Amino acid sequence: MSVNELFKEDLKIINIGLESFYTELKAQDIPSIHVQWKPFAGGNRKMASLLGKLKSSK
Amino acid sequence: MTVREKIYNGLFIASDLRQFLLARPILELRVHSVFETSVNLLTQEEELVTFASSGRDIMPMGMVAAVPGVSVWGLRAGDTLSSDGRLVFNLPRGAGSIWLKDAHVRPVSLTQPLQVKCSPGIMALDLIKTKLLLANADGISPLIAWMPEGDTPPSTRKGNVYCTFIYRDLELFLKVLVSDKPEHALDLTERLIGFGPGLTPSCDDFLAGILLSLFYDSPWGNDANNGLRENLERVAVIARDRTTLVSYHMLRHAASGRANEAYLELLRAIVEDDLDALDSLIERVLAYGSSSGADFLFGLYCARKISADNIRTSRSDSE
Amino acid sequence: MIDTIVRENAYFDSVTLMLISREMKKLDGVEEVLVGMGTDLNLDLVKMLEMFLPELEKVTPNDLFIAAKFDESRVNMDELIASFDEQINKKKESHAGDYQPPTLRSAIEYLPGANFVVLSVPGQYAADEAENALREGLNVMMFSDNVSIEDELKLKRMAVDKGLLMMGPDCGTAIINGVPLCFANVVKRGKIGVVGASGTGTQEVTVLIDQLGEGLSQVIGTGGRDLREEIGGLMMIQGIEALLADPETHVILLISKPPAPSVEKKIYDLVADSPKPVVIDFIGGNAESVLRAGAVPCVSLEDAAKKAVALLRKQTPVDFDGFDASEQEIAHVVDDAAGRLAPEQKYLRALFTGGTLADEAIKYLGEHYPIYSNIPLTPDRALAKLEGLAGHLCLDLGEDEFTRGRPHPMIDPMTRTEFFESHIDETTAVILVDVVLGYGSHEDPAGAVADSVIKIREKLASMGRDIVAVASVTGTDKDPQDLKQSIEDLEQAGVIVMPSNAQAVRLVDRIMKTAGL
Repeated sequence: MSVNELFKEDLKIINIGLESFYTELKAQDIPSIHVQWKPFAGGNRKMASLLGKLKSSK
Repeated sequence: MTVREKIYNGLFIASDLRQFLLARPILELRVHSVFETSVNLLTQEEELVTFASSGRDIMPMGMVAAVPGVSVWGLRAGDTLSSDGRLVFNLPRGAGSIWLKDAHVRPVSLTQPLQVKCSPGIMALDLIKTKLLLANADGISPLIAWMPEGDTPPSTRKGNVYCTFIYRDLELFLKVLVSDKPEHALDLTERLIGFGPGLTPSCDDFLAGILLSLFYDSPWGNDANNGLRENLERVAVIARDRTTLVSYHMLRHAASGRANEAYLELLRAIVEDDLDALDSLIERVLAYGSSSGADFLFGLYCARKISADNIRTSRSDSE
Repeated sequence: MIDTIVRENAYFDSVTLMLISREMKKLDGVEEVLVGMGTDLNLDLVKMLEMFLPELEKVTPNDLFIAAKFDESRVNMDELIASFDEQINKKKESHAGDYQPPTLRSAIEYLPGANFVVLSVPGQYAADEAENALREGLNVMMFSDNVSIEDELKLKRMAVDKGLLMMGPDCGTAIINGVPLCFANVVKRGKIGVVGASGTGTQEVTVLIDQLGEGLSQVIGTGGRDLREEIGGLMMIQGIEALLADPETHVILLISKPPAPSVEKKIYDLVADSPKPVVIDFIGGNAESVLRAGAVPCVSLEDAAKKAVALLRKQTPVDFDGFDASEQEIAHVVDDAAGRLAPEQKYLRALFTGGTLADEAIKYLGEHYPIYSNIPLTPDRALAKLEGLAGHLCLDLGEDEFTRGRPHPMIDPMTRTEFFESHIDETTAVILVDVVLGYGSHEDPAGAVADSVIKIREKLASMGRDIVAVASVTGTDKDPQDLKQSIEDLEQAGVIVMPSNAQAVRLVDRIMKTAGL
């Protein structure tokens, strides 16, 4: 894969985050999909960092 | 204008389903139940086949098609689908056909033996426990706070109403599982099968985790214990009349080492202490059903925890 | 009382069953509800909770039962059943639309051939998601900011190894294969390729190229930190190489703040060998070194657009630092504006939503006037040093200190509207604003500015005063907002609308000089 190969393809986009970006892509008929994203560890920052530490201390 | 028949292509097909279909030139499938992302079908041999929409993980005797939801097929309970032995199914009422010829074949059992490391997945088990406690799911997984060790004094109410009801039976089951005759625990499954909320009741998901782990666990699963497989299969027999059809088939598969792809990967990641893979797998599995994934994870956790403790004990004995 | 209903051979997925039981429990007067499949053990639970009725004797594991305990003076079984049916129907409706998978992996399965991820999750999670995407062989545009520089380096190295784009973090603008991404305008496709480290700067340049009648091949964003020493310009270099190899691209245009010296050298080395003409706007950077590298330096974003177009048309690029309108017209506008101001009106209020546009303004005006700002040219002009409202002010309202807890002012004009109310009074002489259209932006940013200007002018009119307002609109006639209407609304409110940010800034300079500010 190179960036120049991407230039020859049609964009097919996965949107993760702000749903408005997805809505706008849809409005332009760009093949796209929106991910119902949920934060790692349910968004609990303390827990996320704890889990992160658990991983890195391996 | 010519009306062209709509063709739905399979993305993935379970290896067991593929084998099953190819062995039967003529096959009729009856639609048993229809959900948003899957259709369950029954063969005349009462084998359960699942057709799912994309986004679902591949399951034993299942396939995943490139459709956003299964409603596009217009199937209703009682419909029949015929296949011609060439992996093509014609949908009723001219809704088109489903082609499984080009679907990627995916395994639904582990093809390689598990590599148990010297520290048998301790970090992995901690990660699961933390995440399950945090998820506080609806089924019986909140009991992970007390199990399998069970050294806290029992209080009258633990977690939700399901936890409270099943606590003692589950405790007994696990106690026997850690004893020197673990296979006897399987006799106690009658007191668990079919219990809990959901289409696959919580305890069944839990047991699927236990069965799958037992099947692949080397201390029990090797040839030294030939009786084990028989015992596991007995659980499936018990399940036949005591739980839902979908749940029975899940337990039957688990007792033979077959399960959803993510469940198998999860087992592998725990045993190999592959924390990076585990992290995203847990997230993926927790999204299963309302609590199915969490209950399965809880079962897997208990089985692996017991196994890990056994390994440590036997090591210190031999020193 | 207790009651129960049974649905034979009724199958609902576990999530639906869970939602149903939660919603029913919320009903006033309901004590306990169990929704489950009729297995022996589940019925044992019903018995234990003393909710068992004879109807449940014949239930099988494949039947759905609902057992409820409730206060019949407050709720009845019919209402419970109605709630059950409502939940089931609601569930169906919510899934009638597009399927939204829960993870990147399932998204890939549902959208076979997916090749691009737009990422705008909170910064602390963004790096992990980007890494997953790159690992799956997907190109990434990361709008998220607050990602560590270590993570950025790791991600960009990974992308370069795999030949993928890793645009960002903090990348707001790109147009790939003609598709405007995040904050971008709808421009013609054409032969000019852009690599930009700044969002609104890139928008301004692409819009002007479109207005000049040419189009864009690819517009690649890098994120603001790409040209720092730590990152080494990994994405800018990757972008330049891709544009050099791209047969659709005939002229290359680079936009950024001045790079770190080591990065600058790498870029000049690459550019020096380019068979395609390269235009460089390192805003406020050194023109000499650009020339030495064989590239074309610029005096403004607008100048960059004009020079790229000239080179594409095989014309000689010349510096543009004037106006589209004739000198006579400009002199008339300036005199009229300056003549409207009372001697007590002394200060400039430049309120920008676009960071690069604010940067361009302060770099030009800051040379001639002491301007206080959140992005000051010298520390003694920091916003905190401003006493009251007595001084010139130029703000980049898109910076963190103004956006905390609310959307970027390009999405939500409220922040700027509030500044109009708090920071503009009878001592204000000139207002300078940007209006950025395109995808991502608010549906009518011009309308919001026009309303604010009308309000201020009404307030000042009661004191017998007026004010001068100058704007530029970054947009094309193909953008989702109406460009023509936007300009009309502004002009109706008495705003002088200039064809580019650079010309708006220069006009303000002329007005301030003429009025003796």
